[in-house]
Amino acid sequence: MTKKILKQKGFIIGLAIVIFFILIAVFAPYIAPNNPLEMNISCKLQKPSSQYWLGTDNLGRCIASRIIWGARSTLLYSMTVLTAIVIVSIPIGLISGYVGGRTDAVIMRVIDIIMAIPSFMLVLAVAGTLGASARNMIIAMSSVWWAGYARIIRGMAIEVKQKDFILALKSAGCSHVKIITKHIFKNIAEPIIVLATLELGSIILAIASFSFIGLGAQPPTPEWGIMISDSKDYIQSQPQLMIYPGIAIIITVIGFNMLGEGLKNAFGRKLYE
Amino acid sequence: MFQFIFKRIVQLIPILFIVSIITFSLSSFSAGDAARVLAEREYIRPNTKEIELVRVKYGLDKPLPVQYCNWLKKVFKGDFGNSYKNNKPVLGEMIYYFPNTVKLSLGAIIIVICISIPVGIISALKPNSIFDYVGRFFSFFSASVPSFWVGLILLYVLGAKLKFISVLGGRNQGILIPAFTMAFGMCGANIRLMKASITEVLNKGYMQAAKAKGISCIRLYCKHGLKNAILPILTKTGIMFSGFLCGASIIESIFSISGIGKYALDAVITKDVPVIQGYVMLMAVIVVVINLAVDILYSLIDPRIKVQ
Amino acid sequence: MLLEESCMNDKEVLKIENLFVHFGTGSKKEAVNGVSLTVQKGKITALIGESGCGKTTVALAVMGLLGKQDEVKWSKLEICQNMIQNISFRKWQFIRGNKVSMIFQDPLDSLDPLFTVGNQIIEGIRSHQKVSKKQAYNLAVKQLKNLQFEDAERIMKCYPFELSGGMCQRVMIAIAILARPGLLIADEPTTALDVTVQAEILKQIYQMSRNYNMGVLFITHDLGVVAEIADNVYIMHNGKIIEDGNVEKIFNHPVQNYTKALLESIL
Repeated sequence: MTKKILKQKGFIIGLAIVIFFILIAVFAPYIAPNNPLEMNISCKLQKPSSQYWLGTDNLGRCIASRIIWGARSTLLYSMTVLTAIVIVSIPIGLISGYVGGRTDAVIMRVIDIIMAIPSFMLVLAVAGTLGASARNMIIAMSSVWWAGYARIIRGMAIEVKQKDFILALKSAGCSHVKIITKHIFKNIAEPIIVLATLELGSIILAIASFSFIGLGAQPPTPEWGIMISDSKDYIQSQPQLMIYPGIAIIITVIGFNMLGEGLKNAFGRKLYE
Repeated sequence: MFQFIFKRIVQLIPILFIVSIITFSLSSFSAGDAARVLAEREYIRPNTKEIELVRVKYGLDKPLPVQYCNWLKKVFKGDFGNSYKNNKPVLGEMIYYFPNTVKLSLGAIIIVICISIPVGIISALKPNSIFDYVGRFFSFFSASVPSFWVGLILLYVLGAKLKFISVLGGRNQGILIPAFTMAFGMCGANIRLMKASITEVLNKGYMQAAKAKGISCIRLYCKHGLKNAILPILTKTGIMFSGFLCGASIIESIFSISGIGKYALDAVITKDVPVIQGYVMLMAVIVVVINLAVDILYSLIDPRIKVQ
Repeated sequence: MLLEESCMNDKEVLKIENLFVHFGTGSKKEAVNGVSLTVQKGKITALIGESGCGKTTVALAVMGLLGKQDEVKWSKLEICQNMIQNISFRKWQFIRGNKVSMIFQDPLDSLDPLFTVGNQIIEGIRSHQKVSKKQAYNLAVKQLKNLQFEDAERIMKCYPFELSGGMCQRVMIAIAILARPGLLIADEPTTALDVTVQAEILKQIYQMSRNYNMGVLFITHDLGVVAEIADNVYIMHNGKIIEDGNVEKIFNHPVQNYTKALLESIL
């Protein structure tokens, strides 16, 4: 198995990018050359130098430091959303799929309703009433995003449930709780990991988009979407302001997507979509 | 057929009901007292007594279920209240802004279809050809790039450098570039879906059997192949269209298009609750109507659906 | 000798010599390794073997239905006096359905779910005969009635999912024999069906073969079926024909150990 994974170039590249990204996010305070929030109007919009690796922005903040700290925000937000989604969707999906019948019908109905609401709309509504903040964005995103996940997990649970070994366990007197938590969960853990990795890319993109239009994290937080938003007014004269954080987003998302694709190919199992 | 449509419409009622409750409760979640906001419009510096007067006048003193019923009654009549900002009826404003968003989203859908269907078909028919590799690379890349960034880059290249369009946006901008930006991210996913769907259909027994019957190439691929492959595309296009309509805020704010997305976004910044309520309710109805339309189209193509 | 052979040719609706198939999926083994066989007019020839021995591949190769990535070679392939060698898609579509037809293992999967049965039968007729829609409809109804569909008009309006497996297979037979092909290839046509329906389908294939003087290549792993309807038998093992002869010879005096083992397994 490990051999098969390591044979794939895409996986290796993806893994390298992701590890690099995580290291930067974790050690941001030690890597960043300057304080990402420190404004220095006298040296605004500077060219790259040994002090400001990528130059400074319109308020004289160090772009490189903001990108490095931005990795930290991105990792924090996206992991929180992903954790929330996984924690909510796994038990619901497993129960819906395993128990079936009425319970399943009700849960599926709720999922259908939630999936009919575009996540963007809910984030907008929540931001409009509770106020725009990273916390509210995370709540709004998680409360919609789990539904699609739960549906996939339910599908997998149903598939595993019908296998003979589950029947054998039942006839051997194994309790339902144990079957669900141990045997079914073990069998669908692999595809869940793959899906989660693939999902992280789109979560990061969504977070950046929400922050970009002001519904997510608020300035002056160092966050890639905000950085691009701040650079909008300087599009004619200082395009590098939006290009650097944009490239950071793209590389990170490509990293997670390559990692996910690599895992998917290695596990070689059909993902239930 | 009519029975099927009727059944689907009945199924929509609970969804809209739940959405209406969520929408209504937005105002009570909202920070601050709605009566105070309303009172501030009538009195210069309202005192407690005046606020209470307004509260009674707008029925905000009644229990929440009663308030909800009153609100729903008004919504049925098309009255979403007036905007806090300029005191204009929300519905009228939304009807004014909505066509621009529809134009933009339709343009984006057409671009996605024009790119993804031919590329998807060719990559499915000639797997591992150069065309397939280019398609695969593009779909992977487009799924990894934020659309707002693509929009800004296009603004920079076409606007600031080549002067094709105005960086400031405005009325006579044309929707081609914004629609392309909107379409960019979805193209990749759609090429993949198209390719997967056609590959799957080509491997089906009925395609082999139809070929064995000796029917012509055109009949084989266009009649049997395309009709079967189009089903998942149809569903996806519906979802994509609602996604475009609801997510238009980003593109509209980059290209300064006065559509409903930008209208709602501005309302968020000023906490204009009636506008947000009206927007959410309208969008929910539209999403539900699009889903219904897709279901009906689907049932027209696939005879198996009606029976289920 | 030469004269005799050309006389024989008249009776042969399928002649394969040295067919090789190599799947383009990276496996080193030949899927079909030098198979030669003939099917005679009006006779049912059975091709028997365990699953995975390459018998379906032979059928698909004869029909030209193998994928582009698969390597197919033969020294001679003749269907109803038509030499098959580098022919165009158009020419193939003239031969397929007209000179040679095929019915498949899974009848429910062989009909396009989005079109009515009638539409699919008429489409087949109109690809090979210059007839109006109305005439084609009448031909189709007549053929369905021939295949014991009492209410053929209703069946014509049905979608495949509204019919049972057995009914679908009868529809497939109707489509296959409408152009009165000289050769019918039946690839395990009864395997996916209920036992009670199996006998009925077999009877119909047998009757159609006799009525229209049609050669049948009947592919199966079921020796019981073979004993009932086949005239000649080929035994296939690991991509090769290991024994052939008429039914009596194979069943009563098998030579190869593999054939003996096969026979013992059903007794």
